[in-house]
Amino acid sequence: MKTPPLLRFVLVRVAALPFTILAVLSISFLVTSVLPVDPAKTIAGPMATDEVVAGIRERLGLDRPLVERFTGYLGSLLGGDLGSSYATGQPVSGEIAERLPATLTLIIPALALAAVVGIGLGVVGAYHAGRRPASASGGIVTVLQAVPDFLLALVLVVVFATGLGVLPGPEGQLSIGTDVPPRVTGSIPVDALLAGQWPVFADAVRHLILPVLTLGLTYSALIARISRALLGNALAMECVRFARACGWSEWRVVRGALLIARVPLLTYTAVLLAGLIGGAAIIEKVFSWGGFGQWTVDSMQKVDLPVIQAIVLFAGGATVVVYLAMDVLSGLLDPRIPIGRGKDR
Amino acid sequence: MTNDAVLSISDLSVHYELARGTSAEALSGAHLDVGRGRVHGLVGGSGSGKSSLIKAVLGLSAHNARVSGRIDFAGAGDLLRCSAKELRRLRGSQIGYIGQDGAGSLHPLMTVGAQFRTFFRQHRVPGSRARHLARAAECLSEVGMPDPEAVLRQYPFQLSGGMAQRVVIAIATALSPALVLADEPTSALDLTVQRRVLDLLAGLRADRGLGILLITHDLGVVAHYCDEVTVLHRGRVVESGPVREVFADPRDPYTRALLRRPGAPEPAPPAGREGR
Repeated sequence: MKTPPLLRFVLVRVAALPFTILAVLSISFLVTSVLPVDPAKTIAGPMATDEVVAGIRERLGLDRPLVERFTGYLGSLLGGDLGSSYATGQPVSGEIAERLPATLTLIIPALALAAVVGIGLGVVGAYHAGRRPASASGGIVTVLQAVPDFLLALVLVVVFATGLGVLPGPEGQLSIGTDVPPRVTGSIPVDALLAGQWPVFADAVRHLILPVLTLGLTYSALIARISRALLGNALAMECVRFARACGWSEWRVVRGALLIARVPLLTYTAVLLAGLIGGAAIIEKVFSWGGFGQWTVDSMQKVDLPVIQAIVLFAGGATVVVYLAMDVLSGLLDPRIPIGRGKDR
Repeated sequence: MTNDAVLSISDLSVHYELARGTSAEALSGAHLDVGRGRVHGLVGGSGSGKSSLIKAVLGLSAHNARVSGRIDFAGAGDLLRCSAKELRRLRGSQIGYIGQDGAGSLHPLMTVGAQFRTFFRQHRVPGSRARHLARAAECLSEVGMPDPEAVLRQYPFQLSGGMAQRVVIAIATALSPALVLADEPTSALDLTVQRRVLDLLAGLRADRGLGILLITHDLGVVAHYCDEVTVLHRGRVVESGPVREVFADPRDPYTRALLRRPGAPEPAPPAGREGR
């Protein structure tokens, strides 16, 4: 009858998930309903008569009390219905399935690049603290952090697309006229690979390079700062002194320090990942990516309430899931965190 | 210098280069000898230059430190003229180091066994994982650790302070070094454990002919465990010689002040003290 501690931890957290989501939904429902904008007016346009607007309000159910709308929404949600967009009339769930893979295709490689560059800069900054290589690394980080991501995006486009012409410009995920590969995962390069369509795969990768570079370099500054601080602390620990006094090589000492910095670094990266799901909007917009973030901003402008609710629901859920995965991983990586082990260990 | 010295420091000076061409002197013309199988006490307050001396011997001086003089180590010549690679090989295998904080000295995310294995691999000790672990268990039982196999599977946070310090001593002496630098090895431990750790070090000295440089500010410890003593004050050696002589007839006002402090030993050391 004994449940393993790790499984129990996960089960407790998963059981708490609906309550977290409910809280997030209630708040977002409340906030969007008190906004001083009327979706019906936005849909009807500035020239519409009051009767037309009233008709739209009635059709969308906006004339009913807030509590009734909320319970109705929760009811259909339990039936798996996320509602339909006010703007397009399309079901929201279909749109999420379309846009989420596009965003993940963008942010996962970007975050991987940010981690490699950022940790590299952080190691140099922490290891050579107070000496020239550290100043160089700190200078690069400051520049990366000071340049806004959209500006970096434009510079990269001007240099590599317009100027050198070696990479495609901001035309989306594929060249115009290229057919989208048969849908399996929803991520175009992955699907192209699965279908064995090499030219499509190459085209998709070429379209990925500039946005991934932009996001990756922008976020590498954040990871560099945090990893420099974490590694600096780790390298100042008594165990590093002892390791050196025991004749460990400098390379092994740095690896030991990275091991100490690993768990907080992963946690921080997970926070960035959760934030990037909706937060890459500007870059998605610049590169006409058609992803989740771009969709969020567009829907906000149109006061497309069902879409906004679905995005909040989804982003909230994704955040909770990413954090849960992070907690489990931390517990597995750090013996001092009592997750996944008996109480006596 | 005596012929039988493991470590012989002469005219050692260390100064730190600070911003804008200024510098601070930490150690000036220091000298001391540690004989084979002897315990040499190094006494001094904070800022006396003790840690600069230790770092210089280990070849781990700060980047802005300028070190001059001689540090002769048995079999290796002047350590100040050794390459970084040679020094790294000596550290751990020929020169052991024991710090103040046993639990903090161990890597928090590695089991005791893994730390031993890394240590052995860093020194290219041949053998399989199983052989390394068996040897580690031997080292642990030599420092009086009950149930060494279980300890090898534990993480530092699962050990008491005294046990962690034993693990540190076991690692520092695993490859039979000729010299151990013990930097206030018991200051973080409670009194009963302090005695056991010091007795353990004294025992290893007797069994293996180990030279020990014991840094402490406890003159009772010096009286009980050390053969020779050197007193550092503001970067200078103000007193050195056999413990009995120094305590009976302190020359320097600083040493006299130390000896007058409450808790300091009687001028004549206890008759039953260890030594040879």
